[in-house]
Amino acid sequence: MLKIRNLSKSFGTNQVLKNLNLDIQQGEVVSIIGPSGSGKSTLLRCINYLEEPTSGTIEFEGKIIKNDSEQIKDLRNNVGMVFQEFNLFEMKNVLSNITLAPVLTKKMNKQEAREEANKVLKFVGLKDKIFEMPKNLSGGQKQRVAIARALAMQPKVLLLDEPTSALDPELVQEVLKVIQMLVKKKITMIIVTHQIDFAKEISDRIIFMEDGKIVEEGSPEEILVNPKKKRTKDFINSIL
Amino acid sequence: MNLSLIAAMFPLLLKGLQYTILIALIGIVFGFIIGCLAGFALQGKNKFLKAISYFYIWIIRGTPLIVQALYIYFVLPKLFDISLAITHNGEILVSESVMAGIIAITINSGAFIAEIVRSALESVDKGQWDAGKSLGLSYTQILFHIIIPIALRNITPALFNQFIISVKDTSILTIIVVPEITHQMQNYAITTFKTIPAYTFGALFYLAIISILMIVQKIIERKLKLTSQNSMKRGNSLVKD
Repeated sequence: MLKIRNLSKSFGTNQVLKNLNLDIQQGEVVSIIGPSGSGKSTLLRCINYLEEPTSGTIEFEGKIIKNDSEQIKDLRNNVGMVFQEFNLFEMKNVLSNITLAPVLTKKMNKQEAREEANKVLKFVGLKDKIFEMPKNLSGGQKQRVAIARALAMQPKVLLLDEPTSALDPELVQEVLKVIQMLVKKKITMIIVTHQIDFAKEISDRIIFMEDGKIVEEGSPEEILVNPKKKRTKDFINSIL
Repeated sequence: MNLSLIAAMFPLLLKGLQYTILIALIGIVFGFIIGCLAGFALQGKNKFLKAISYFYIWIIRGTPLIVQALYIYFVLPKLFDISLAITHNGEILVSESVMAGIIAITINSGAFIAEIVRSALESVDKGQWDAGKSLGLSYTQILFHIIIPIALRNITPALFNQFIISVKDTSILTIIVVPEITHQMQNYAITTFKTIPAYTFGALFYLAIISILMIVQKIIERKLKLTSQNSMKRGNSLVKD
């Protein structure tokens, strides 16, 4: 459902992504691993045009996305994103965080949006926090609200950019549990992560990236247990 | 300083206070509007608007307020052959000097507020924009629903501070005979020769007024810190299920 072709992205003279190709099938869970600075997050941010690709194309559901505000808006309505730093709207309570986009972009009425919010909050186990302000939540709770907010848009693909990297160790598990539940729901996901064990457990496919390129991709077994390329092997060894 | 002097001077100072507050209030309201426009322009992508804003701020910050007031009062009317006074059926509603004072305080505070607005917009975490965009919200939707509420909360203390500065700045307007506090104080001292008590009482009067405003400022700042809890309560009152 997602086809990335010859994607390059440069910031000034610094080329972060180099002619990258990637296909994502519906229902697939793909984890991207690799050293920091390898372009993992930039790749994710290019998929929903938070970063405009320097060259190359993003094709979503058979349609090549042009740099046009309507098309990008439509793409983003279907591709949810969860950020490392949560990025909850700080002046809005949990409910408003979740209902804002459905009401504004899908013209959902307030009552429907509220019911949807209740549903997604129940899913992430935070129904009792519905009127809380973000700053009164723990990191793990914030990230679960952020996931709920993305889910309320009923996205076809969910992008998760290091969803547990900003969390205290004891809060990581509650977020991983929610992601596991998303896997069971067969939601198409692309996850940038450093949690290798977790990636192994949930992924259909793992991609190892370095220096703006995909070095190797394959099943968790292929990449984590029997990597073919030396770079992949070195990386796996360095973090285990 | 004796009671009879206070009794004689107090009504004059109160009359002056009306002008001081009126000019500072109108100045801050219109200064806020100008400041927002200029602040947005500074932050935005339109080079022409940006240049105008920079030019405006450069002129205002590069000249003393007293010169600005003199220029508006003496030069502008001659230059454009207009009267600054607002009249209705031959009756003067706002005198030339008061109008010049309002304009001077407005454009002066506007330039400073522009900088306040710009830095407030810039200080909003980029992640707020990212989150809004990733949900498919448009630039204006993100700006009005997410960014401006944060920026407004952040600039309120600075805005109130600018108001206090403007209140004090109005004292300069005595040079263009605006009947504000300083003007009343000066008049009284000159006509009665009670120099020491008149200026002393006038200064204490300012100190009292500004102190009250500073207390209000503290209360506002404390309220802002409680904002989140308040909105939580507001939310709770909507619980139906």
